[in-house]
This record gives sequence, C-alpha cells and structure tokens, in this order.
Amino acid sequence: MGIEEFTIYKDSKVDKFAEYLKDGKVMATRCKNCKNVFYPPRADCSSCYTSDVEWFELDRKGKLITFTVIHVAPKRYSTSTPLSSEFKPYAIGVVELKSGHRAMGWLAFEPSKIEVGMALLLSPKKLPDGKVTIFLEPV
Amino acid sequence: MSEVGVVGVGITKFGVRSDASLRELAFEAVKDALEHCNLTIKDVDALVCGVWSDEASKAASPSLQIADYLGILPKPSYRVEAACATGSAAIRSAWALIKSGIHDIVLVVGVEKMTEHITSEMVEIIGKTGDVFWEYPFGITFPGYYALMARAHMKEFGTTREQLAMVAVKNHRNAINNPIAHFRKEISIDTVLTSKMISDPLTLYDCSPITDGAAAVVLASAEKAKKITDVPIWLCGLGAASDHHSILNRRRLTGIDAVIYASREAYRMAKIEPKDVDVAEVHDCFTIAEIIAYEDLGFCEEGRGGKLVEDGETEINGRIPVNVDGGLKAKGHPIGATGVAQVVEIVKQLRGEAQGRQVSGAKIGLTHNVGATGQSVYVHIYRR
Repeated sequence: MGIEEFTIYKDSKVDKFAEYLKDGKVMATRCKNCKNVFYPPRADCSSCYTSDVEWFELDRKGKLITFTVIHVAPKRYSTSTPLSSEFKPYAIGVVELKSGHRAMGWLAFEPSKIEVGMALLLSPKKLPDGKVTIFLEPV
Repeated sequence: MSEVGVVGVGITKFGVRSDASLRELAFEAVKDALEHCNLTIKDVDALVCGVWSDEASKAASPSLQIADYLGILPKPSYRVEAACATGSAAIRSAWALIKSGIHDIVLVVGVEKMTEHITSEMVEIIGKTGDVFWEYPFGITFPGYYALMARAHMKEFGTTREQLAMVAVKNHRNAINNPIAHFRKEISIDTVLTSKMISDPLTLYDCSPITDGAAAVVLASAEKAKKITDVPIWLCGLGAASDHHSILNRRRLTGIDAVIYASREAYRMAKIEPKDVDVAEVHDCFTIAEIIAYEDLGFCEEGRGGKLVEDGETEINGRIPVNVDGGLKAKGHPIGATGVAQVVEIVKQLRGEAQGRQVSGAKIGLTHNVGATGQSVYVHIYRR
C-alpha cells in the first residue's frame, strides 16, 4: 500500500506520507540543497531544481485560520462521507502551524464549537473506509 | 507598437440549454460574432478554442469536435485551457498569434456544456480543478474554497454577510437588462441570507450557477481591423500571473496575489491607472470573489471591498460600474465561455451597443478572469 491510502492516486515519490500518518506523524519534506520546506510534501524542489529532499516531522500544534461546513458535497461524498455512513454536512479547516506552514484537515466535532483562532492539533486518523487522513482536534 | 483589435463579438443565450450540444452552442456564438463584423468563417485564419473540461464535455479533446463543426478546415485550430480563466487565456493566445505575424484574423470561441451532469457530479468535476492529490481527499469543493476565503476575509477585515449578499443583489438586478442572462429576476439581501446553505458561510445565492453557453470574439491585426470595422476595440493592456496550486501555499487567503501582479502589468501596458477604468467585468464566481477583486484590482484599498459595494460605487451609475451584464453570478458561468463573454460585454459597452445597460461614455474597459481559485489569472484592458 502507499499514497492511495491517503489520496485518489496510486503512484508517487512521496508515498511514505501515508505510512507516516499511520504512525501518527505529519511529515513535510525539506530540500537538502536550498533548505526550502514543502508541505504538502514534494519530491522535487521547485526552487533549485534538485531532487534531494529529506523528510521531517511537523510540530502538529497550530491555530485555526479559517473553516467551512460543506453542505453540498461532491458525488463521491454525497450519500456518505469518510466520516459517516450517512451524509451529514462536514467541516474542513485550515490551520497555521508555529513554523508558518498551513495544513488542511477535517473538523470532526460540533460545528458550533468551531472558532477561528482556536488552538488545534493535527491528528492523523484511520477512517472507517480504511484510508488515513488528518483531523484537526482541540488541544 | 501595432495593436490588436476586436472587430466582432457574439454570444448565445446562457442557461439550461437542453436544446443544444457543445458544438452547436459554439456555432451559435460564432455565427453571431461573424455577423457582427460582416465576415465569413472563410475569412478567419485560425481558431483558438477555450473549453475547460473533458469530463464535463464527456470527451477527450473536446475542441476537435467544435473546430470541425465550425467549418474552420483547412485552417488550424488550437485549444487553450486555464480552468475558469480558460476564455481569457484563449484571448491572450489569439493576441500573441496575431502579434507574431503568423495569423491576421483569429477567431476565439469559449464554450461549456455543464447541465447534462447532476449537481453532485458537477460539484465533483469542478472541485477537482483544485489540488486533487492533497486537498480533494478532504471533500473540498469550489464553494468550499471560496468559503474558506470568505471567512478569512470577514475575520480579518470585518466584511459582513450582508455585504457579500449585496454583490448578488446588484448583479441579479443588472442581469434583468441582459437578454442572454441565465437569471433575470430581482432578489433581496434576505433572499441570499435565507437561501440553502452550500458551504458555510456561502449560500446558494452567493454562488454562480451551473450554466451552458458560448461566446465568440474575432480579433484582427491593426491593419485588418481598420478595414473590417469603423469601431475596432483595441486590446491595449494584457497581464497574466500564477499563484500556487494548493491554497495552503499561498501568501494569504484574504485575496489573490496573482490578480495584483496581472492587473499592474495590464495597467502599465495600457498606460492607465485603476481610476481610469470606466466599466469592469470581474470574476464573481462567488460573491466574496467580487469583493476581493475590487481590492486586488486597486478599485479600493485592501479590506474595503465590502464597503465599496455597500456604498453603491460599483452600481451601473456608480464610480466604477462592475458586472453590468449580471456577472458570472446572474448571467451564468459556463466555464470555458466566461472569459470570452466578459470581452463580449466590454466591447458592446465601448461601442455603445449595450442596450438597456449602457454605461454612458465608456471608453476604457477591463476584464478580470480567475482560474482555480486564484492560481491562473488574466487581466485585460480594452480601449475604444
């Protein structure tokens, strides 16, 4: 198994991302040559054009900068979502980490408790459908 | 510098066009544009086709069926694609083909057939214009992306839910005077606020509809343009820019940096300032997108977009009329057609042919076309 455990594609040079998620780690890559950091991770540096990157673990603590609750879903999610066997509106948020990087994740708690600015933790989770993903959980 | 002129424009009725296929829609718009400048398809040297989605078109290379149906052969055709900015990318390509000297008269057609899909299919297809690899797994949609931007803008600048709704109210009111618009009915702020929630905080009336339609433009070298028409409209400023594919990597979620780059490039080339624009067509795929457009184009300061619409400055009789044809919001957003349809409106305005919605004395017009929530941006300036 590889990156298909996280996304809709099978093949990638950063397929370890899904494996790391299963170990509870959210990993980014860093270009060994110019030190550029990539999240979502990249295998190739778009700045110096070398492909010598290393994995490192992100500090998972961050602050919610925006979110939405999706009521009209894409077909793949419209009868059920990865979170539930029946369709219910689901919330997605963007957190800013201490490092300044941003990450997306599911907000799987009561929508009325979601507030911009709240402290959240990037929490890798296994879903009922077998995939791995990232939840944003209150600290 | 020799310029490139628009000599003819054409457009179809936008809406649920269950009476016509993709290629037939393209034909309607091209016929209208050729009649507008009194040319035939035989006078055209090349076709640039703007069609966004293979999936929406249920075809691979959908431009090929369109090219043949238009009768362009044996002349060449090209397809250009830049998500929701496809139409403007096609216009820029046509400009470059003419400036290069390999073609004198280029036909641009933009078209999309979207309503053969059920809503959830279309939501999925459009959503996959975002980062399929890293963001789609979270079930993000296009209204979802703009909802993230809306909430960030509201938090940062105090933009209100009512101000977002005012964009929809204005554009729906404008569309009443546009016979080709998808929706031609006045709505109220309350209509917007109480309509079905799509992606919190955006409701149904904050979103542009799923629409079928086509638009066409004939461009020509300066020498040919002057022979074809007495009123060529000059494409005198072009700007284009990109931002990151993943919204996570963009500098900010409260605006679109690529619009700042593209618009400043276009203003410089046209030797104008934002205050010189008489009429603007901006990419209001969602109400928040129009408010952000005001700011990034320099029509107001950053964070003041909500106030600009609230103060009526962008009304048809305001300081800078925006989307007087109803915009994407009420005219409709057949994706590949949109950027070309913006040119159709600007050309009609500058020629004084915008019956019922004419901005009096308009001499300089602007189009602002945004693809993939801000990744691909084109800003063009036209002059009478």
